[in-house]
Amino acid sequence: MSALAVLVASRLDAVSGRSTRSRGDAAAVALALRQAATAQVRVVSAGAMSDEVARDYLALGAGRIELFDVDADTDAAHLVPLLASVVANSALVLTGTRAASGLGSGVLPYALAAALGRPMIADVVDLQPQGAAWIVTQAGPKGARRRLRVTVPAVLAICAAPSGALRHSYRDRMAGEVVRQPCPNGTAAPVSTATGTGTSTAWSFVPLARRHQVLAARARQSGHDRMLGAIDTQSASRGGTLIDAGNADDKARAILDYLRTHALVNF
Amino acid sequence: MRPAGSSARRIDPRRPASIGPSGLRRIVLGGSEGERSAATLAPAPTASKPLRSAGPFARCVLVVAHADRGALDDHAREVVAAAAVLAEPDCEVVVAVLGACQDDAATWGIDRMLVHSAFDPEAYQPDVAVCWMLELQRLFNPAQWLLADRGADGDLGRRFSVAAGLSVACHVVELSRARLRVRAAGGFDALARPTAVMLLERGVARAALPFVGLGRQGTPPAWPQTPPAAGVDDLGLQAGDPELQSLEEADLILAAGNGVTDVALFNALASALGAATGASRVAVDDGRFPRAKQIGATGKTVSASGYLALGISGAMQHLQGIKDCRHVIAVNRDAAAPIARRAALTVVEDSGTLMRALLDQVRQQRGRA
Repeated sequence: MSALAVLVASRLDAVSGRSTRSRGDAAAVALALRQAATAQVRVVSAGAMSDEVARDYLALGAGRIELFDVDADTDAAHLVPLLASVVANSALVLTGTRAASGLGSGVLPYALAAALGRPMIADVVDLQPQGAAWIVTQAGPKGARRRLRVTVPAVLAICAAPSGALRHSYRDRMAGEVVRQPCPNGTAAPVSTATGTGTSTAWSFVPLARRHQVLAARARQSGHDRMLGAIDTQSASRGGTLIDAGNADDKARAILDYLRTHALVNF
Repeated sequence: MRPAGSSARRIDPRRPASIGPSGLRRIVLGGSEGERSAATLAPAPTASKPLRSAGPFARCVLVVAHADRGALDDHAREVVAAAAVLAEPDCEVVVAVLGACQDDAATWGIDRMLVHSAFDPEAYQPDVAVCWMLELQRLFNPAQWLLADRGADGDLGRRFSVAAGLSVACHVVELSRARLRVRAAGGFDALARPTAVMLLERGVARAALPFVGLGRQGTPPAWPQTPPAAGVDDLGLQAGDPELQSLEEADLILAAGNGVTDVALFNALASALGAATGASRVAVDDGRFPRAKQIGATGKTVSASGYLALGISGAMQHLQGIKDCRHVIAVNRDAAAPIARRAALTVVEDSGTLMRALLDQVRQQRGRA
């Protein structure tokens, strides 16, 4: 029986300021629990998490959640080897795509996969067992789906978007077990791979700016150029090609030619 | 204003002027040389844009992007523009493109473009792409890497930064030479100095530039022949069904307006083209289409690569909904409809007649293919 480990974290609500469960992580837990018949599922969190949030994850159906005590100021370079030592025995490690607290850079799954020496598969939407292997479905742009057969231990970042309504069972929430454990030893050495929250970047936090400054080149224009720009009617949008002549067949052919020139249709 | 009849100084609008070598009207006060004609407001012939920097270059900044149908998409162009705006005169803007790209490099501020035309976007090869980027790093040793933070580019940038051990900033929403800004959770922004790898969100920079780049074509490093990662086998890519996916992520949209009365024909054409269907507010209010299909200010904002508007006049509210569409084709009986100014191709024809003609041709050519 192979084991799945799901890494979860709490999320700080932007409006209420309260800690809640992260939607992406909850989708990962729900996806793992669908495989509970064939695989053992561990739900793991490192970092500060209140019992309320931990029980929110238990309400998805997990019987037990393991919380590892990590200082709040632990940076990613130290967190990654710690997580790696915790989940090293699990065949598949499931995470969300990006954390809903802190910077949410989305680099952690990649750094964790590098630390464990495993392949990393991003944007996973489905997971099915096939004998000893797993069939992993990856979401692409424009609704595309890629299927991968994974036969080795891997790290999967679960895409939250397509997951529907998540289960919330009050009984499981109350009956589940929250296990707090001390930080495992022997994880002092930080990994060399710097990540978004790594030691090499010093971040300072300021209140949210509603509007961002768009980067634009400063145009060195004379006053005369600016005046001409204000009355310029040539370069303003006048539309593209206009086809008025010909019969409907010719016009349809013109549209089809345009679609084919720009590779919008594939026949 | 001085009262009428006073000795107000008046300026003769037809006083003599000569056209100088720079094309400007030159008036010598009190002079009598030149032509006596009223000033015309014709704009000067558009001068070509100046070069950002002619070199020599001591450093470079590298942008890596996946091409979308033989061109860089708007997000990638913004990233290239950000690189060009931030580059010092001795810094070269090098763009490495995965996939064929026929864009004019100079227009977008690119000094050197390395196009790997043989790239296969269907294949699953993230590790090979990372090896290719490590080879780029060895050849160019760029001061900074810039990528668009979406889809394949964002994935590649994260993989590369971890593999190369470089500091990375993701979801960058604001960038300058001195600092970058990232949205953090809990109502805060995080500021830092620019990192080695930066993944930029949409809208960080304006793609239009007042200068051009050198626009040279370079040879990218050879695609690494490393075997794909063991244990992960690609079982194939399946394109999405346009009718099942949401309109926002559709790639080709066939949209109906008030001019479309034959909905069955419209749906047949959409399924023959493999396009998702949308509608304008009038067509939805009329009950011909469900509310979920509405595109526009009160409906959905779509970002399709191709948008075929049938019988849509193009009200401002509808144009807001298609502002991110790349290629807009309009079919309308009125050549002066506002959509004609937005569309790259406008066909003046009754939408029913054109749909029948188009459906016949699509069926013929699909049958032949």
